[in-house]
Amino acid sequence: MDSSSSLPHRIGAGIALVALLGAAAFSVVATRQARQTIELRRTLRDRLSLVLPFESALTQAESGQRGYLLTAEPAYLDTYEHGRTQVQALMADPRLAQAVDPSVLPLAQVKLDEMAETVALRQAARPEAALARVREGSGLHLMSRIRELCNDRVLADQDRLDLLNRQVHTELGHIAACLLATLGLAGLFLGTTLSETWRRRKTQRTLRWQEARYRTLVDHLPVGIFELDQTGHTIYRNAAQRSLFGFSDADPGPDAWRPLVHPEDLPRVSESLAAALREVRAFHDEYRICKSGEPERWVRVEGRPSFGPDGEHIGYFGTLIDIHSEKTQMLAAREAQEAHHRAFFELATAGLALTDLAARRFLSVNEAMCQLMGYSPEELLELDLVELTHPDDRARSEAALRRCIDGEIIGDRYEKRYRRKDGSWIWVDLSFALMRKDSEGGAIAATIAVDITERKSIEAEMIALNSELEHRVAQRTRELTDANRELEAFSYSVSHDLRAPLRHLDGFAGLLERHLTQTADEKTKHYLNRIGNAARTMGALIDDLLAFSRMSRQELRTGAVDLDALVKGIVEEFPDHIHWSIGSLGRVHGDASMLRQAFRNLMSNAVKFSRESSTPAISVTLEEQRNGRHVYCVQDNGVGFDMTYRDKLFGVFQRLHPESQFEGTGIGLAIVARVVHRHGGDVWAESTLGHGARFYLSLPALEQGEAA
Amino acid sequence: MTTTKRILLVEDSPSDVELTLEALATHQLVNEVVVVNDGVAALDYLFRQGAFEGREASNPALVMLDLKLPRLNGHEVLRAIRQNPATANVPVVILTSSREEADLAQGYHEGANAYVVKPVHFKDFIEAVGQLGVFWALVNEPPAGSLRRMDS
Repeated sequence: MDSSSSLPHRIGAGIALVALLGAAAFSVVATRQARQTIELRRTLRDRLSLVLPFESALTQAESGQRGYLLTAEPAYLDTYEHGRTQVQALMADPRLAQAVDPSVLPLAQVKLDEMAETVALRQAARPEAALARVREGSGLHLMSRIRELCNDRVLADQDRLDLLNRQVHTELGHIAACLLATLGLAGLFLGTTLSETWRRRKTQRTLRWQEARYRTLVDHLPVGIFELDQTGHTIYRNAAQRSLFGFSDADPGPDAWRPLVHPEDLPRVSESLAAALREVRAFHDEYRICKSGEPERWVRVEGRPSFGPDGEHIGYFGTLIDIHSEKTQMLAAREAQEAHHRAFFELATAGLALTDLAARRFLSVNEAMCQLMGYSPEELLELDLVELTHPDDRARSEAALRRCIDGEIIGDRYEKRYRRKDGSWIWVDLSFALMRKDSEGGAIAATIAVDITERKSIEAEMIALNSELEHRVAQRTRELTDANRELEAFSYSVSHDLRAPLRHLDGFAGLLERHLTQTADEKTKHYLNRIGNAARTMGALIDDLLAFSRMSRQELRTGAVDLDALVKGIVEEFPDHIHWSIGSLGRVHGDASMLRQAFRNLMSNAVKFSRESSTPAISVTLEEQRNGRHVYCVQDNGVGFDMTYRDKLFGVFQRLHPESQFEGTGIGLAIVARVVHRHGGDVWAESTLGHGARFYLSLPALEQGEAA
Repeated sequence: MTTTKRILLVEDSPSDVELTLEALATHQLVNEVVVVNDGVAALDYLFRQGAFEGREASNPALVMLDLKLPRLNGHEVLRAIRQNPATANVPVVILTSSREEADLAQGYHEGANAYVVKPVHFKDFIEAVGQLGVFWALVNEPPAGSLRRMDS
C-alpha cells in the first residue's frame, strides 16, 4: 500500500483480512469436529446393528430349542439351528465384543452349550433328562442376564446417539454461518482493495502531473536550484543552476564546480562546505564564479542537508543566486567608505588607534598618534600599552579595560600619562569605544588620544597658584582678624578707659565749683566752666569716633529695608517747625540700623545747616532707579557749602564751618560715607554757598526674590 | 563683724568711687554703701566668704556693678550672682563707661536689672547715680532675704 492510502483504509482492510483468516480457521476446526462426531455416530449405529440381531437370534434359538424339547417337531429344530447359527456368526464378529458388556459373550456361550446339550438329550430320546435340565432353571436365568446386560448398553448407546445427532446439527449450523461470514468479509476486503487501488492510481496520475508542473516552474526560476546525493553527484539541477556554472544536463560530477570558483574564494568555500558536510548542517557562502572567457560573477549559495523517509541523510539541496550587481555595489561603497574613514583617520590631529583591549596593544594607529608617542607606526604596534602607561595611571586604565571586556561598559574617557619614545611623559585625554567583541574574549575598540600636557601643566600651575593664593588669603585673613581684634580691644579701651578721666575731670571740676560756691570769683568760674566744656567735647568726640569705628567694624545684617518707614521715624525726632517733604522712597537691600544712622546723620546735618533760614525746608526723595541702584537725595535750603572743598566733606574730623557757628565733631558725614560704601554705593554732594545743599547717596535695590 | 549695707558698690577707680559716693551723699544714701574694689571681693561679700566670712546673713538691696574690674570682671561677677540661689534675685545695676552694644546685650542676657552708662557731664552723673540709689535702695521693694530699711 503506498503512502497515499489513507490510514482508515489500511485499518479497515487489515481488520477485514484478520476476520477472514479467523473465519476460515474457525470453519476448518468446526468441520473437523463435525466429521469426528459423525464418525462416532456411525460407530454407535454399527454397534446397535450388531447387538439387536444378536439378542433376537439368541431368543430365536432358545424358543426353537424349547419347542423342540416339548414337541420334538423338526420345525422347531430348524428354528433352533437357524438362531444358533446366527448367534455364532455374530459372536465371531470382533465388533460385537466391543459393543457389549465383556461378560455377555461367555454367558452366551454357556447358554449355547446348555441348549446344545438339551437338544442332544432330546434327540437321544431322553426327553425327561432334557426337561430336567431345563427345569434346573439355569437356562432361563442365563437368558434374562444376557438380555439385561444387552439392553443396558443399547439404551445408553441410543441416548448418546441422540445427543450426537443434535451436536452434529449444531456444528453444521456453525459451519454454515462461518462460511457466510467469510464470504461477506472476502467481499468487503475485495471492495476495499479495489477502491484503494483505483484511488491510488488516480493520485499517482495527479502527482505525476504536479511534479511535471513543478519541474517546469523550477526549471524556469531565475534562482539556481540543486539537489545532490551524499557523494556530491547531481540528483537534480535546474536550468538556472546549470547556466550559472555552464553545466550541461548530464551530471557534471561532485567536484566540477571547484575549478569554476575564484581562486581567492575557493579555499574558504571548500573549508566551510567541508565543515558543513562533516557536521551535516546547513551552509551558506558567497563567492565568485569564473567561467573561461566570461567576467567573474558573484553568487550566493545556500544549502541544507536532505533526509530520506526514515530520517537517514541522503544528500543536499539548495539554491544558488546571482548577486553580482548588489555585491559589487556594496563592495564599491564599502571601499569608498573605508577610503573616507582612512582619510579622516590619517588626517585627524588627535591620536587615533584601533586597540585590542584584551591584548593591550594597538592594532593600527594614525600619524598623529605616532607623533604624540614619538614612535614609528611599526614600533608602536609592537608595544605593550600597560608598559607605556604611567605606573600611577595603570590601575585606572586597567579597570576601564577590564570592565569593558567584561561587558560592564562600552567605553570610557579619562586622563592618563603615556611614556614617549624619548622617555618623557605626556598627558592625554583618552576616550575609547568598543567596536566589536568575539567569543574568545577579544575586544576591539576605537581609541582617541588628545595631548593635554600643556593644559595639565597650566592646571598644575593654577593649582599651585590657587593654593599659594589661598595660603596668602588665609594669612591676610589671620592678620586682618588679629588687627580687628586689636581694634576691638582698642575701641573698648577707648570707650571705657579714656572716658573715665574725662568724667573725673568734669566731676571734680564740678565738685570744686560747688566747693568754691561762696568764694569763687567770675574768672575762677569761667575756668572751671572751660575745663568742664573741654571734657564734654572730648566725650562727644570719643562717642562719635566709636560710632564711626563701629560702622566700619560691625557686620552687615542685610535684608529688605523699608526706607519710607525708616525716614518717617527719623523725621519725628526733629522739631516741628521744619517743613519736611518726603517722596516715595521704596525699599532697598541693606542693614537697617546702619542705614538709619546714615539717614539720621544726613537729615540732622540738613536741620543743623538750615536752622538760620526763616522757613527751613528739607526734602528726601528717590531720584533715580537704574542698574539695580536707587539714588536718594537729601536737600535743604540752608547755608550750603563751597564746592571747592567738597572733597573734604566726607573726611573724618573735616569741617567746612567754624565750630563757633555750627557745633559738631566732623564725623557725621564720614559715618554716612562709610555706611554707603559698605553697601557698595556712592555718596556725593552739590551746593551753592548760601543756597542750600543736596546730598546724594546710591544704594542697592532689592535682590531678586527678596521677601516683599 | 562687718555690718550689712543696703548698697554694694563694686568699683575699682578711686575717682569713680569718690564721685559715686558724692552723688549718693547728695541723696543722703552714703551710709548705706559698702564699697569693694574688684570682682572677687564683690563675690566674697555677697557669698559671705573670705574677708566677709561671718557677715550678717542678708543681701544688699542693690549691687552697683562696674564692668571693667581687676581679677573677675563685671560680667563674670554677674553670672556668679545669678547662678547662686542665695543671690539670684538680688537687683544688679551695671554702672559703666562702656556704650558698647555687646556689653549692653551681654549684661541683660546675664540678668542685669538695669544698664546705666556713666554720664561724662558731672551734673548728669550726680543725677543719674542719685536716682538709681533712691529708686533701688528706697523706693523698690527688694526680694526676700534683703536688708530692709529700719524706718519703713
